[in-house]
Amino acid sequence: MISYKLFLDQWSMTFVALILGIGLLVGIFALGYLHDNSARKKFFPTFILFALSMLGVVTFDHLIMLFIAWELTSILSFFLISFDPEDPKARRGALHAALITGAGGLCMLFAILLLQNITGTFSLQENLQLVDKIQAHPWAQLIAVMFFIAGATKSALFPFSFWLPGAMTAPTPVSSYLHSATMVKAGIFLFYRLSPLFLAVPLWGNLLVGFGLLTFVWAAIRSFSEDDLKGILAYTTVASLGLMSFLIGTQKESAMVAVVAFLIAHALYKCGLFQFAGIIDHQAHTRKLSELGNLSASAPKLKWLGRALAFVGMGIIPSYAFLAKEKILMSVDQSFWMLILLFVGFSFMGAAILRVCLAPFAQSQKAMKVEEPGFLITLSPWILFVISLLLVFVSGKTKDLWHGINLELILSLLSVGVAVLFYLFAQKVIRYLPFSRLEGARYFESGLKWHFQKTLSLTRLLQSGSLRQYLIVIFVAAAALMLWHWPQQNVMHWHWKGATSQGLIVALAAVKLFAMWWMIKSESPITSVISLGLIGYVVAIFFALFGAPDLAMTQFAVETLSVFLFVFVLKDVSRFKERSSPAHFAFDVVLSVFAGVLMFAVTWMAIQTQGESRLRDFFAQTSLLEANGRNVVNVILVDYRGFDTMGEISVLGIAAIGVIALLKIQKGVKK
Amino acid sequence: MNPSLILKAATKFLFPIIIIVSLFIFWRGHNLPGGGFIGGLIAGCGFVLYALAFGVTEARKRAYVQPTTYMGWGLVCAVGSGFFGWFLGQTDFMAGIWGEVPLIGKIGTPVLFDLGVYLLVLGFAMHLLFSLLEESAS
Repeated sequence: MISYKLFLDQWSMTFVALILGIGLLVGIFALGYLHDNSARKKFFPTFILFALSMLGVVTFDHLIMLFIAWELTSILSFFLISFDPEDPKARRGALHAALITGAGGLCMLFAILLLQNITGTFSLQENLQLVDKIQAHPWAQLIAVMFFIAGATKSALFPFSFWLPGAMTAPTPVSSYLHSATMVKAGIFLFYRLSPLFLAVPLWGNLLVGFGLLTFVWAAIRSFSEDDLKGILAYTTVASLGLMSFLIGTQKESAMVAVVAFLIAHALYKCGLFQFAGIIDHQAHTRKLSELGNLSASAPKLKWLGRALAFVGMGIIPSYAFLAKEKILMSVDQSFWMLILLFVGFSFMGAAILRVCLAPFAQSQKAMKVEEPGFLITLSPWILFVISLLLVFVSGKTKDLWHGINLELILSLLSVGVAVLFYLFAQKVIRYLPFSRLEGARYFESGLKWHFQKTLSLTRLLQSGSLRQYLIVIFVAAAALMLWHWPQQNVMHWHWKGATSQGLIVALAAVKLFAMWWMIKSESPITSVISLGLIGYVVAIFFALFGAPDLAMTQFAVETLSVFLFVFVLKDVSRFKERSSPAHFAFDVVLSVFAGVLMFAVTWMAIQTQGESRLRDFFAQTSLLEANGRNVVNVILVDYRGFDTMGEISVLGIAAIGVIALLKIQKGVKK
Repeated sequence: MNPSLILKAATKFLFPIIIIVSLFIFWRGHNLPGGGFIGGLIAGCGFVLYALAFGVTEARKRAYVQPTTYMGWGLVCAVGSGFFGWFLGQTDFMAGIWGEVPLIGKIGTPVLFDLGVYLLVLGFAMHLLFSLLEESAS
């Protein structure tokens, strides 16, 4: 049974604090950023729903509920990214994000089911205690890989990183929440939470370390050469996620502690930086560094906000990011190469942050004038700055700040220095950077196009568009299957049941036959449709006579509506222009009669062979007492088989969307 | 299509009766033949009759909200009825929870579910037929 039990420990609570706290600040920022009331009405409900589902991801104990919340975050992020549905870039970004994270979600479902197969439970807590059983099983590596893919897609590790820069088409409040503090961190959450399961599975650690480090270094270097402010921040976020994955992969105690510290620090300063970029976009109406410059004259307060955020973002003492960087460096100080790679990555990330915060205000040829931003919109980034600065002292970690002049401190200071150098000589550095224009999104997009082309040609092959051909295929296939499994002994015998007189039945059958003949013979489509309706009504009367009143009523109503439908479709057609050739006609008659007789025989046999059905007694006994209903048919529909009905009505909803789409295409074609 | 005066006069009289009949058939579904599907279809027939007599724009006004809104609310009712058992009754999702209400008698979550089915089928029938009527008119 699916339960909504929650599993809370310090790791979950950290996330809860981030989701709620940063959510509040983003909400304040959104009030300042979104002036249009209709934009606010669209944003806030989706935003709050997203926060709820994110809470679900980090607190649910039942793995299926976790999966549902995971998928909900993907779906809601799709809606938030495509906030402006008219913009094709927004649609493209949202689609890529949804496809990639959705594919990862499927892998996670697969892994969850495999896990449950081994341990017999869906509960996360219980699974964490059955570690030995899981690790001994031959499936352990497959489960590890599947969970890795789920987290890697969500947290934008290489090669799944390209959706994150593409999602920057979202309005800034969305980016500052989803793509810095919460949704992308879900993968990191998963990695940390599941690490105890895979301690003895080296593949897990290797995947995390390998892809994490690769993502970190590549994205950090890539971020520096971006032109778009939010693009720079997107790539530094990708790098940070890679860093955290790498640390979790080392499976060392000190690395895990460092991850928690960096998680908090990064969420705080990255959210602030995104909001800062959003303010610049809001005031100057552009996000491109090549178009921005000289803002310090007209917006001095904004300049100071930029400097403040750069201070805490680069991790200068005593900001929380400094503490985090120290812990990270200390946790890998055995390995020389890892230290070097971290140093390179930190330098580039720091330089990228400097570009975002300082470049728009530097001296340049562009003479831009912007208005100083209002109070409401700058409140949130300033608060984030203050928290980043004071958190170390408030959380009682002051003594962790200073360990004396050691290797980590030197590296930290050096990386800040190198970052400043990179920033000052930005243009020269960028020219020497390889793969600075590589865009994974383009490859994905062309891959999608190729896929659609192939499916289109397959569809053209299989679907000719002729209704007659479809029906022929269906009838022939059904007949072939039925004949293949024809029972050996003869189970048909004539047995008359029913209280109605034989005369009435014969009369009704005669009416039906007349209607069929009339339908085939008539020249006018309307007459054919009406006789088709007459056939349906006679069938309904049969249902009523033989004790199926619900069925009869439904048949009457559906037949009426179908006749209406047909009439509207055909009313502009005055006569049938093309009739089938005699050969086609003969074939159709033979096939229809054959299929009809076959169907009749099969139904007859099904009624005759009673079989051991306990269902009838079960329904008869429990329908009134347990389900409070005397009409067993209806009770089966809404109670016993309620899930089936729920699926069916959902299908009706999807069909309605199909109708809308088809009619819109028609309108487009007519124009 | 120029609807006749007889049709218009008759529809003015028949339309509310059809809707009431559909609601009645929906309500009695649990103990006697009827139910959400049939009720929704009959109400759909009623709206189609109204559209035939007075035109689609008038019929849409009569419906107050868009057909797709009916469908949305139908789904909300249907899926929402499952949550009662889950959160309040501490049983499975979609288990029936019943209670006594004065004057009406027994009422429970399957009734809410059936209401959802009713709204959805009604919305679908309206949506389909209004779209087709508008298509054939233009």
